[in-house]
Formats: sequence, structure tokens, C-alpha cells
Amino acid sequence: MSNPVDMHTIMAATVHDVKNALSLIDNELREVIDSIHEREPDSTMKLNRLRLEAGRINNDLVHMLGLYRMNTDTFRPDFDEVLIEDVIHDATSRYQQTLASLGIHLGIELEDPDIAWVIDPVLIEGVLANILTNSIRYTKDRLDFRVFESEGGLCITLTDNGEGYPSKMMNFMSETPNQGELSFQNGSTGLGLYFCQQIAQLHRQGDREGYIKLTNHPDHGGAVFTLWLP
Amino acid sequence: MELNQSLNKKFLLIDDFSNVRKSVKGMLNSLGVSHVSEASNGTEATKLVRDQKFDVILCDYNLGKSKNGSQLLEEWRTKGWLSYQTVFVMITAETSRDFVMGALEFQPDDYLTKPFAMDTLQNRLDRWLDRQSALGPINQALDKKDYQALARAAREVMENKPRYRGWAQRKYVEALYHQGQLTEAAHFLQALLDKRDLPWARLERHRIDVKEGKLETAERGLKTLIMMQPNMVEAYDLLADVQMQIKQPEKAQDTLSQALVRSPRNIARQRVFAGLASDNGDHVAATRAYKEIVSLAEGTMHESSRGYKDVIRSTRTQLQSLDDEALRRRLQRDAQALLKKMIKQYPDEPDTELFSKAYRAYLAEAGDTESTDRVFLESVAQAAREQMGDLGEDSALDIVDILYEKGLSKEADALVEELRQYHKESGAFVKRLNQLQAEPITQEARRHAHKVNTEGIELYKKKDYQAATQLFEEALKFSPRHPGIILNYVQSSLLLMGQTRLSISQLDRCLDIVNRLDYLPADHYQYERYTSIRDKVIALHTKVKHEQPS
Repeated sequence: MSNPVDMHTIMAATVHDVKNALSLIDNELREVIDSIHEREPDSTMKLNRLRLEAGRINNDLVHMLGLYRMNTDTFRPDFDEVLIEDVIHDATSRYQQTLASLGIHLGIELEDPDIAWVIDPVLIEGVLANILTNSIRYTKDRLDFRVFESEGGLCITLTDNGEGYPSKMMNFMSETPNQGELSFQNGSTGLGLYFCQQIAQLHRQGDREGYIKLTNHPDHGGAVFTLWLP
Repeated sequence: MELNQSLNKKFLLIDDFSNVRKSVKGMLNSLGVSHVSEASNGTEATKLVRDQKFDVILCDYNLGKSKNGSQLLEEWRTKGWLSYQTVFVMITAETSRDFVMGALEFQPDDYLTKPFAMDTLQNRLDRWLDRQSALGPINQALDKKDYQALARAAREVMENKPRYRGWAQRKYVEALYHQGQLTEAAHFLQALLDKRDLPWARLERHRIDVKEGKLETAERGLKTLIMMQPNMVEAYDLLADVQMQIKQPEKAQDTLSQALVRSPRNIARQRVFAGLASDNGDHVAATRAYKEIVSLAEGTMHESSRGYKDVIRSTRTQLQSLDDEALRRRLQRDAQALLKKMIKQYPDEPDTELFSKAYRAYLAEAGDTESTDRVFLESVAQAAREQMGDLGEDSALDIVDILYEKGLSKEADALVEELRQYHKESGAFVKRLNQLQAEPITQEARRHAHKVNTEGIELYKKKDYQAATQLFEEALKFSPRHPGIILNYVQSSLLLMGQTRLSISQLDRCLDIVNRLDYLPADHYQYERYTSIRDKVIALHTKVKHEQPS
């Protein structure tokens, strides 16, 4: 055989398997949490941290496979007109329990609750879930999604009330606008952001393409993640 | 959660594991849903769905040995057992997208990856019920297939319920399309596309192009669409359709094979692909696709003896042009196994019985003295003539073909004669019979004979009768009964003899060959040419014979 090892199949099968295992772990953890959360709030908090880590591994795998596919040109986006509210709810609903136990308030505010946009809903849900797992780690006690139209595009922001992004990270984005050299100094956070950037760029309309932006809030200094899609 | 909204709704839960049903039912109960029916397999579920109307059906994709969720949905939709007012939700254990695509081909209203948390279920429940009530009139019109009402209801939603505007737009186009209002639909779609690029609207725009015969526009547009949206399998189907219409069957096959990589579980697509591959002479791909159809159809509404016959027939075509002895034996065994399975599963179909007997003889190995005996095939031919009415067209052609191939030309000719009489109303079938009788040979041989014959005609035109005759002779080796080639050969031989000298042995041969056309019916387009050439050969033959010193 000329091609005995098909890397893509191996990666896809591995990722699939690990994801299923993670989903089982997550489910079991959730059941344990359900049964002990009233008696043992501290253990519950620890278990919820574990669930977050499981979520991070899951995201990392998705990024790895996604970037590999982009690299080999086998990445297949599916664009459709969908309700943005649904996408945000899908991205957030599995974190509700974790958020509650960590005492974090999640706000979702849509300028127009009926707004629909042409996006790849699975990919954008992945971007939002990825950002959410990060923000949960760094916020103090609040996370706020805002959805509004801006400059003829769709803008989704996630603002936390933590310490804000370190300047190095905000620079990472501006230094590598066109997938130039990738710095892995920030570990999976860097990789995750790079992936989010790629997903945003896949969204095109005419000659405009999507982007992500990292800033800190001018008033309270919390981190603001912005996803803009044409 | 608007508890009151879900209180009186009827739910159906389909999963083969009772503990899963119990857990989901528990969740539903705590969300305020009290009417929850359960089914553990397809049969139970189908019975419930036919008996009562549900508001929401939660169906697991994988139902163990029973039909899967997608097959159930397909059957219920096709047979009209499932109201469009029912929200059908497919539950899958897989997170991979390709898999979900397969499950989505028959368009459930939503899908859910398990295990799912209560928060997720609650969130989705709100969504389903809200949509169900907002789109009620549209779904009622769909149930009644009342497209005028559908257009009206869709317009109403587009104007007053911005949340579901996108959804209603699709239904509006569907309504216009079904009412034959193609121009209106095209304008509507163009207005949407002018505002922004919408893949579904592009696809529908091209569907109308195809209907209106703008094939080139459609071909170009669909190729672009596929580049942008490589997972949109319907775009491949439509493109393949266009490519067939503009006579590019190889490209159509290639297009469909790409769609099948993305979504292999669609029987209709596999069938179109197999037919194309077979026409294109790609019998390996055709056999593989026919096999896939049999395995996909197992246990579903698509299951029939036809699937088996397609595989076996395609295998035979493949066998005819195969040099690899080991592969030949393996294919032969596979086909024999399928034959046994088929006859066991469909014991009461006369057509299937005749088919399987003919193939038993065809596939038999030398050691099987009963099946290889000439008497056995003669009895098949006899039975076929006696059961003409039960014999389907495809099986009839198979039997005739096998008789020719096994050297029973007389029996085959007799059967063809009777079939021609019996089916004289069906022009297409009679044409196929005539073709088969003229060329009971493999497609490869047919193609080769055609090529050599064409070269011969070129030389004949240049009056090089010697070389032309040689080529026609060569073509006859591959297609010994083809009227065109036979007449070309004889005509060219006669002219060659005119240039040189008449030879009795050569005339004998001409007579022999032209007599192969005994079977030619009087309405055959070569009939006149045949009789005139035949008469000439006979006349010359008699003349030469008399001139010969005895």
C-alpha cells in the first residue's frame, strides 16, 4: 500500500474516542456533583474545576483536529442562517451548573433577540464555548455576553470582571494578524485563540472577513473578547 | 421555562435502553411534562406514531437491532405517518459531524448529543415548543400538502415573526416551486441573494435554473457553491443531474462519489451512482455501490430482492472482463452466497426463482455437475417461457444473456422471440431484447468491436477493402452477431473479391456469416440491407458453384 498511515483518520478516530471518554467523565462527575452538592460545597467546587479541565481537553482536541484539517485543506465549514440566541444558549447551557457552583453570574443580552445571521453554527458555538471556559477561570464573579450589530456586521462580546488580559496576550493577536508565526508561550490559550481567529476568518461576505479582538474594559479593566462576523 | 407551555404536550421517547428512557423521562417530568409515552424499538414506535399525534418525539439514532432513527423518520415521512406539527428530535451519541450529517439527511427538526444536561434539555424544550406554536399554520399546510395555504402561512410568518423569517422563506420557496411559480420563486430568491449570500437560496436558485433548462448557468453556479459549502450534499446531487443532462456521465459519477464520501447512507443516491458507474463501465464501483445498497436497506422499507439482483448482475458484468483468477473466484463465491440468501428471504417470488436458477448455472463451478449440465439450463429456458408473465424485464434479459453466453443460442433465440411477442407494447424493452440478441456480449467487447468497426469503415471509404475486411473480421470476433458489422464484413469481402477474383471458400464464409442474421425481425432498420446483401451472396455463390468444373 502506498499510504499505509492516513494521519487524518488516525487523528479523527483518536479525537473521537477521547471526546467520548471525556463526555462520559463529565457525565459521571455531574452525577456525583448532583448527589453531594448540598452536603459538600468544597468538594463540589473542586469537582466543577475538574469538569472545566475536561472541557479544556475537549476544546484542545477540537482545535488540534480543526487546525490539522485547515492545514491539509480538508476543513469543511457549513454556513447557514441561524438564530444567534440559540447558538449562545447552546454554547452556555452545559456550563450553567459549573457557573452556579463557582458563584459566577452569566448575563446574556441581545440587542435584538430575533437576530439571525449566516454562520457556521457548530464552529461559532465552539469558539464561544472555548472563550467561556477561559473566562470562567479568570473572572471574579461576572460574565456578560452581548450581541449587537456593528459596522454592518454581527458583534458578540464576552466581558468578565477579572484582572483583564495581560498585555502580552493582547499583543499576540496584533503581532500575528495573518496566521504568521504562532507563539505557544501561552500554551493552549494561544492555540485556542489562534483557532478562534481562523474560524472568524472563514466567515466572509463580499470582501470583508471576520476577526476576533482582545481588549480590556476601559472602566473596570476586565477582559473583553470580541468576535465580529460580516 | 414556561412550564404551562409544556404541561399538556405529548411526548414520545424512543430508546432501546430502559434506563436511558427512565432518566430522560425523569428530566421531562421535572420540567413539567407529564404525558410521556415510551418505545424501545422501531415497531413499537411506529405503532404509537400511527395511533396518536405527538407534539415532540425524542428518538435515539441507534436503536440496537431495530431500524435506526433516521430510517424510522424516513419511513414515517414517506408514508405520511408523521405530522409536520410534531417536533422530531434525533438524539445521537456521537459528536462527530459526519455522523450527524448521515442522521440529518431526512431532516429532523433538531438533534441533541447525549448525554445532555437538564439545562440543555430545558433550553431546547423552550425552543421547540416556541417554534412549534409560531409555525403552526405552516406545518398544518405541509401536512395537507396545500401549497397555496403554505405560501400564505409562510408570508404571514415572514412579515410578523422576524425570529422565524429565515425558516419561513424556505417554506415560501417550496410552496412556489410546488405550484409551478418558478419565475416568482426565482425573483424572490434573487432578492434574498442580493442582500447577502445564502447557500440554501443559491441551491434553490440553481434548481430552478435546471428546471428552466439553463444548464450551463446551473453547472457553473453549483460548482462554485460546492467549493464554498463542500458539505452540502444536495448541491452534488443537482450538479450530477446537470452533468448527466449535458452528457458528461463520467463527471456525474465523480460528483456523486464525492457526495457519497460525505454522506454514504443515502440509498437513492447510491442507486443513481451505481447505475451511472455501470453505464460508464466502472463495474467495480457499481458492484460496490449495489452491495452497499443491500446492506443499507436491510430491515428498512427499501429492502427487496431487487437489491440482491442488482449486486449479482453487476458482479456478472464485472466477471466478464476479469483476468485475475483469485479475484474471480472470490467474486463468484460472494455472488453465490448472496444468491442463497436471496432465495431464502424471498422464496415465493417466481421471478426471483428463475433469476436465481439462471445465475446458479452461470456461477457454478466445474464440480457442480447438476448446475453445469446443459439440461439444467434448458429447463430454465423452458420455465421462463412458461412463466413469461411473472418474469420481470431485467431478469428476462439476464436469462437470455446467460443462455447465449453458455452457448444455448437456439433456446435463447426462441425465448427472445416469445418475449418480443409478449412485450410488443413496450418498445424500450423490445429494443433491449434486439440489442441483446444482436450482441450477447460483454460491454468491454462491445466497445472494442465498435472501435475496430469504425476504423474498418474509414478504410472502406478509402477503398482499401483488404484492410477493411480484416478489421471487420477482427470486430466480429468480439461481436459475432452484430448486424452492422456482419453486413460490413460481407459487403467489403464482396468488393474485395470484385477487385481480385471470386473464391468459393470465401463465398462460403460470407454465406455462413450472413446467415447469422436469420433472427433479424422484418422491422429492423438493417433488414432491407440484410436481404439485399444476402441475396447477392446467394446469387454469387450459386453462380460460382455452377461455373466450377465438377
